[in-house]
Amino acid sequence: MAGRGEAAAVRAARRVGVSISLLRWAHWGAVVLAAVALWVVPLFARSYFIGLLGRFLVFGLAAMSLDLVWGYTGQLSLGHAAFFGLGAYTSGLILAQTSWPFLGPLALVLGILIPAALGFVMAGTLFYGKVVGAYFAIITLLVSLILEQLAISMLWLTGGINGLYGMKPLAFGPLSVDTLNEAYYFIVIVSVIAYVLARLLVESPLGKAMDAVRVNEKRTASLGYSTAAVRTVVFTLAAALAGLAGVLYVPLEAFVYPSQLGVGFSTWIIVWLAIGGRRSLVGAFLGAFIINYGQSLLSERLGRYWVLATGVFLLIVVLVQPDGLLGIIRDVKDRLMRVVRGSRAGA
Amino acid sequence: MLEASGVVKRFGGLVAVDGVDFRVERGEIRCVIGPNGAGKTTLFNVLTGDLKPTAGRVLLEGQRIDGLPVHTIARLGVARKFQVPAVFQELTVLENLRVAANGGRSVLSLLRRDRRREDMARGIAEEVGLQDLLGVQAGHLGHGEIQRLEIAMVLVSEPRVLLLDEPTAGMTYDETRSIAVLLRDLATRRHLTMVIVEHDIDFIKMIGDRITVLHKGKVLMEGHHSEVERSDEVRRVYLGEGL
Amino acid sequence: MLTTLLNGVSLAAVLALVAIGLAIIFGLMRVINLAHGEMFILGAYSVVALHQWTGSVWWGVVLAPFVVGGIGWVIERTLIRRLYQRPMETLVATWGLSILIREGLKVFFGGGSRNLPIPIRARLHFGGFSYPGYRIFLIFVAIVVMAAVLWLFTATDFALKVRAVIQRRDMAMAMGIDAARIDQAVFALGAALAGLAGAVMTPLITLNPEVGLFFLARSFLVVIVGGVGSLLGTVLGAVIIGLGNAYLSFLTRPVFAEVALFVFAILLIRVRPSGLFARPE
Repeated sequence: MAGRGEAAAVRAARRVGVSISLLRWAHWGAVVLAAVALWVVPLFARSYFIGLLGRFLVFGLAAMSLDLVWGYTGQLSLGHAAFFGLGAYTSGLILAQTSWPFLGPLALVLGILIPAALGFVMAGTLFYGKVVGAYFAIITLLVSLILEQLAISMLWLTGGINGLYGMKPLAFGPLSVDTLNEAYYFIVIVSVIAYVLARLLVESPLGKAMDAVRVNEKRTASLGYSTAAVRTVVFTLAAALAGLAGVLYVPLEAFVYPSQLGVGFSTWIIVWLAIGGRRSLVGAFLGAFIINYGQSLLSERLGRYWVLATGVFLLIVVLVQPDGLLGIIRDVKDRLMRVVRGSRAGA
Repeated sequence: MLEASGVVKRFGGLVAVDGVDFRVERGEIRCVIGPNGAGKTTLFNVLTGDLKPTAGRVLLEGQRIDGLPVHTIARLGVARKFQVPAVFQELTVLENLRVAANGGRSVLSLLRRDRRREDMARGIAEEVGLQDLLGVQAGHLGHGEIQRLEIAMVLVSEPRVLLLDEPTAGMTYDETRSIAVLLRDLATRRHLTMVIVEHDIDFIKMIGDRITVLHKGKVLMEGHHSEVERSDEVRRVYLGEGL
Repeated sequence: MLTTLLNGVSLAAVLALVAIGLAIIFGLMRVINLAHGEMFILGAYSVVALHQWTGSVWWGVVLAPFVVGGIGWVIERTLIRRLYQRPMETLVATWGLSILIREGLKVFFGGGSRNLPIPIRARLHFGGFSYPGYRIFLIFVAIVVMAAVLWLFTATDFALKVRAVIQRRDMAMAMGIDAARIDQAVFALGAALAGLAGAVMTPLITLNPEVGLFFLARSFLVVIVGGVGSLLGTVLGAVIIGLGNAYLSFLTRPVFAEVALFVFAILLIRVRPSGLFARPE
């Protein structure tokens, strides 16, 4: 009865089987190429461009951390910059101390752990209480809002609205991240490692569980998964990663502002990810690159309107193209494949 | 094996399950029938932990499981196949089975692949006849194939009790018969206990040992299907639906 | 001390108006409108604009609810209506909308802060204690409006239609009720309430476009604490948050007051997910 359907499916299976391993090789090859390309940039680019590229990578990391939570696990976080800013403030505060030993490693480690701890507390408290979806998203917004207000008002700690500055450079023993180039190389290394780890996570059984929770939470629970545990672990990891991005941002910007914790920046992270393409890890970087590049070109002319553009981007993503740029690329590719296959069949 | 004792489930003013005592022995295949609204699905939901009973207890091999979270009950060996197909459409057949196989592991352990469980997934696929379709996206499968994938997914976790909610909905006679054979076979080979909600009387005859008839949230009668067939009460309750 | 109490009450009054708007839209339509704070601020800026034209604050206070209600109606027809049953998309879209409105106001009115004169300069005196008359007026307006809303949603024909549309939309439509119109009306009403709150609050605060976010946050806290789906619960939640805010701001810095209330709301949602006063779903 199902004969014809089964035969077609078997053919599709064979095709998919071949494509999967090919895709995998291509993917890792592209990662290596990108890493190499990024590494050699300082040899021939101006420092303005190097700084820009460093910024794109840091923002891409922040957006990628949101992808784990939103793209894969299906939980929107409206206040993700809270973790980024916490990482920046933590490492900034540590690096502003002249007398502590091991400033570098301490700044890095705490800059990851403190945001992760906040993420863990938030996620653990709420997910295990079945507070998910929209309610959770709004609470993350409130957290980001509150942290920004706290940073502005706790002058004695954070320097208030003027922020922190005058940090010592990150140093790990003899290696120090002092100049722009050193900061850039450090960012490239960390970004590549972070991407590889994120990719491994997403391909692991935990990654599949994340997908399962997003697609059908009830079904996933009935298979024996504690969906609250999955959500909590992923959220904590994402908070840690965003905090790491914040730590990386400090040597680039040399200032830590309250706005790095706030709602506006959180929105940018959402925009970069949504426009680039969710559930891909790569889309985060794509969106961060393109939008920030566009900003560097246009913000002189657009000024105030650039912030307004975030609103427009969000509406576009919801109403017109939920899959972002990667989605457009995929559609074009599918259409091309169909044309190619069509002509081949006709021939 | 599985016992519901005095289970009541109330939703505001509506009483969906009104004091059900229900007991299934190990290795038994029990069918639950009843007209729509009799409380079959609600009872199922209480057994799986999707709902907490308003009153009463649910016991698995003597251990109380009512009120436990869904995933804990699942890990204790109660597996459920939903009425509406609930496979993960965008994942392939093999990936679906692997997800099912990994259920029950602690979250952090999920970072590592478990070869043994993955092999189990493959093995199950063969048992239900899906070994040639492993790379196909679940969303592209035919209806009968999806049902078999679902059955495979609930089996891969090696449950003790299998709860099936209308497994033959929408199937042709031949498909129904192959499912019945498959399930009987699996029950014997894997020493499974099964509770099946069904409307299809042919399927019930092929597979069922005993039948429980629910009506308005209460157990109307319980017995072998020939007894149930002959009962006037049951006929009245099903008036118009034909038994 | 009495001043603090009354300040709390007047804040509670404003919060109640805003939060009821939010609760109506969420409780009845299951729509989470992150642009709700901007409805508040649009009410405030309507007062500003009308004040610039006419020199009087009262025009704004009277007309703002209609202006903002109209804007709410447009929003429902163009945006919200496409997003029913899609909560996450609604969140993102209304957040985008709120940004558009906020930044649009900055472009139009300038991002700076402004203050408007308080239209009632008289103070109420009793027993050696005096309190600003305008705040009393505000409390009075809030009570009247809330009573009207309560009446509207319980004792009228409209209330029946709304309930019908919410519970069985297809049946309601089959019986001749224009469900789309009901959706528009409810959303516009929610927006109008927030606009009214913004309008009456304008003379009391230093106004800039960012204020909308604060009221959004506060009204969410009110809804979390008071519970969804119960108008009375929302009012009581507003009283708790309003009084709590006033009292805590008296003790410590306003930021810490907000943090304390936030933590309280989070713990509450964990312990009683449906809020203090609503019936559990």
